Amino acid sequence: MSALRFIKEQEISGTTSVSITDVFSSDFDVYCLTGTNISSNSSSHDNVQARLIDESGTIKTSSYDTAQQDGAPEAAISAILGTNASSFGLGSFMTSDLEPESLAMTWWIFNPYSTSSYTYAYWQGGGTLAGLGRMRKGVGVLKSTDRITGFHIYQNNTARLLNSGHLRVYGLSIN
Amino acid sequence: MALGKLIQVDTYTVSTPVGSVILGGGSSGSSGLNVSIDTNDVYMVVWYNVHSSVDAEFWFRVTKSGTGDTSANYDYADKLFNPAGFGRRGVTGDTKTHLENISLQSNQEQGNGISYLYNFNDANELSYYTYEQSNRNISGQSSAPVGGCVHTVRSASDGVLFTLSTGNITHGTFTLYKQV
Amino acid sequence: MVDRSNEFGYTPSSPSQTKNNTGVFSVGDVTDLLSTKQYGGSVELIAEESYSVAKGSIDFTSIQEDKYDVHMLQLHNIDFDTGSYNQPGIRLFESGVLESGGVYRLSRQDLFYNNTEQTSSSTTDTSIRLMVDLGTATAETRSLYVYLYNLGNANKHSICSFHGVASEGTTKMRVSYGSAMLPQASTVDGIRIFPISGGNFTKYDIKVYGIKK
Repeated sequence: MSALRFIKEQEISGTTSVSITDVFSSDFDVYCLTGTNISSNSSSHDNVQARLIDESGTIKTSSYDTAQQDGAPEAAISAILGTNASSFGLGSFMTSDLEPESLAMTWWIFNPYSTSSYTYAYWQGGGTLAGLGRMRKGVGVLKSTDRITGFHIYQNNTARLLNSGHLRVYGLSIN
Repeated sequence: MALGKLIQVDTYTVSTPVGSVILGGGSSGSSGLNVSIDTNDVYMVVWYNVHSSVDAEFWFRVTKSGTGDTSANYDYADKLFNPAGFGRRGVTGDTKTHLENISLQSNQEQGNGISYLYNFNDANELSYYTYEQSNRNISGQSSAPVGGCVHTVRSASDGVLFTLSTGNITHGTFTLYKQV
Repeated sequence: MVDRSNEFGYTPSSPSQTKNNTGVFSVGDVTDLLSTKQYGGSVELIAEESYSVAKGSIDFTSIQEDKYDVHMLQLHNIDFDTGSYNQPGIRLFESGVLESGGVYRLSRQDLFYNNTEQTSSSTTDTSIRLMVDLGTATAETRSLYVYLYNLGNANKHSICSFHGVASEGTTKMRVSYGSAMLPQASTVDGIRIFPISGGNFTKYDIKVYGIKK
């Protein structure tokens, strides 16, 4: 039996933020999350951030340490850094724009369900926006031993909606 | 119908402190399964929740016939992702790949990562691997060297070894997969 | 779907069960689990090709782009016969037509054995440049993984990310990672891998996977 196991999918349709809940459990310790075909309803591009959700359904809004590289095809690579931040960082789930411009990401998440460990993650992806593009590669940790069961993305500007795409979560089995 | 192609080969979870963990490596493997990297597939190694008994460097080596290779033949380059600012390393002739500096579970200073292994089974090629991590180091900083390494001797590698500069590995799960 | 959960083998831990677990999947069990994407694992091999004779490009034209939102390539042990500063590149087929115009965008980080680095950025590339060039030494190989996203969606741009290692001889290793985009709303139904500076492959083992959706 192959080791990467599908857990859940969340379709994105007309919301400022999207949660995929009840995906992290005692079944796995390492997860892969993909975001594909994601666009917004606005031609004004907007950063999309990532957060985690605990078992009570609370979106965690503090205690993230993060370091990202923001690569622009029309420029150089710059750093996006955060300590005790409110999310995994500005644009940690890329930047959204109006279709056909879109984003895609792959995240690896470690130990979310454990109450003896913080939750760790790294990610890489890219997207097109404003007639240009972006690379994003990042690393982060939520410095909390709360039991984490879900994942959340949101746009900075609540007037803009994420209106297409999917989030999918897979568990990496260890037998 | 295409079936899943990421196949677990070996795994070991530290239950009592150990000096090192070997995945693959035949009879030297920590799991006792007596398996090796013995096909020309790409392999994937995953480690997480790795802690040490004291502040220590966390090291990665290839194994040759089940023994961790300690020769000065590891060349690696990486970007250090750290909220305090990015760093960079380019190292030649090291005796290991230095993945991170980790510490006690009580300090929440641990290592987590994924590595893809290339050419390991080919005696005429160099063993290559990438690594991507998310850690918290002995300074309590989110930290992660992200890059890759080349073992600069043309010979087959049959496994991987994780160890520390000092002390024991007290926690951690280490798993080897092949992508067929 | 008929609930046969009391029959399946559970790992790593078993629930409290009131009936013996047979640990055997019937054809019906498999059919049911396939319908919910719970059987067989999510990394599926679509195509593969290994070196047999020198060739100037490798095309994968049956990539099941309607079935997968995420494709993963493993480019393993790549080498060329034209060694002067060459690197592997990707071009994409859009509805069967190869896109070779200056439309690809790239942001790439390169890291070197001697603790130096460079970045490569472009909005007008004619292909996706996956790794920094290697020089002219013999036996220079590259290995990397590549993710390709959104290929089958005609209304979206296609996105790529990658991470790999290479060595010029035994003394000059380097790492490249980055992302690239084909900013055209199109259905991508094929992938070409080729040496950007010309010549032929002399070594390769390439596999194309789909991550099941």
